[in-house]
Amino acid sequence: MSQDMMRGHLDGLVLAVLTGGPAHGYGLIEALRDRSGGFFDLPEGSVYPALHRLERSGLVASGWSEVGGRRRRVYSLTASGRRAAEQRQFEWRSFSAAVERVFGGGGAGSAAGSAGGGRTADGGPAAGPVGGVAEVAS
Amino acid sequence: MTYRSIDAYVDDLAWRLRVGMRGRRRIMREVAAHLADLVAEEEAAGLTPQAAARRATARFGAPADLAAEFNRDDALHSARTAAWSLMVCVAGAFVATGLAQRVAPANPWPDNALYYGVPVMLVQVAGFCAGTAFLLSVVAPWMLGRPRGLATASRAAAAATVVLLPVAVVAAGNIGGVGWVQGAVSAFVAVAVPVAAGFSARAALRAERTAGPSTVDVIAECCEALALRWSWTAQLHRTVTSTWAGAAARAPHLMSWLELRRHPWRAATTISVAAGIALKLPDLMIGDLDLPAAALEAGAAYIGFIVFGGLLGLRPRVGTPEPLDAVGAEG
Repeated sequence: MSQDMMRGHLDGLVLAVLTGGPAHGYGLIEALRDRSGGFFDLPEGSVYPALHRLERSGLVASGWSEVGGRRRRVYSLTASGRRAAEQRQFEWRSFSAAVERVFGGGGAGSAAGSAGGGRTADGGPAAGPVGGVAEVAS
Repeated sequence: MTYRSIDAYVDDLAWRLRVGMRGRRRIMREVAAHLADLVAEEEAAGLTPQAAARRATARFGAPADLAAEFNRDDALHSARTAAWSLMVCVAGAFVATGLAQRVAPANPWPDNALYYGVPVMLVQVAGFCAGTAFLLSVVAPWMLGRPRGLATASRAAAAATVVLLPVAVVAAGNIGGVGWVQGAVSAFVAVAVPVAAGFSARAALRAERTAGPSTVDVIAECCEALALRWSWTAQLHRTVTSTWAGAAARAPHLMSWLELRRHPWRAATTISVAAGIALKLPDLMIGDLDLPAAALEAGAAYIGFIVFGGLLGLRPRVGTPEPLDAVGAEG
């Protein structure tokens, strides 16, 4: 996946990871890598501009705290951030399902796309978007 | 580029950042904490401290890329703040000017001519400049999903600030001699304009330096994006575009007087004449046609285009012929 394409989705992915609870930058990029099965092996610093951008938009709040003897800035979703995460998840699933229908044409891929594009949350909060990206890119 | 220590990496990043003291300090602290975690992880995997630092900084990414991303976001945020504050100032100055024309103080400061003349003339110019900054830094990113022409936006914001400062000075000088409503509005202008000037200076310092698209191109992109939101507007847009292209093919010379993107000077002449007529339309409606006054308005509009057209990105700047080429200019 190209850097530009990745940048377009990074904000949504960060929101999705933060739905699981507050995290600092190091933990966040680790979670992103783990939950994507190693697919998103980004330069670790790339998550910080996204976090600052989301904080400026009021979707994320942050504060310094002591974690494991070190001071770290911990980020958490705000109420509007939680709504934005749900919205982006829904949008991505609709988009992903449509792309899958076009690429797959029919058969198993189409069925998977339809399931992924369901209107109800039928999986973990972040598993949808992350899995969806891997599906389209592969 | 590899770094032998976290400090070297953080220093290099800090040197490239253009986000203000507080922002820089915060980023440096966050990056240093993250790198410390990475170094600890690499050392636990058996690397020497120096090798761990090299590996950690490589994993973190190039400072140039990271700084560019921070700078881009911060430039947009600064330009947006400046544009909003200037629009508020222009609205305040517009109200203050209107009130000043109705109820003047007994002894206007500094004198009658400046009290009546300066604000009326300058607020209109400031409105154009602030409007351009607002379009490029607030409307365009919202409609297109990405910032366009931030360098022009910061220039426009700076111009609006310069134009508004004399208005603020006149407003401040007359706070005492007017009623409390007018005094409150004048006080607001006198305070808000310097604040907006600070925001504009910050936006100018953080703006990108590369020449972006012309403002006319951005307006065209916004119109297209807006048109594509609904099927009937998309249809309307297609009809207008094809009609325009057809007219341009059939009567290229005549249409060149309307095409601001390809023939800015000719189109500016047409717009100036139209503005002169439009501004005198109320007089024309009551049968009181004042041709010299209409010609004066048209001349003022054309001079405005000469003075501010390049600054506000309304015509291609010297040395940047790309926008013309991009739309297939014929000269």
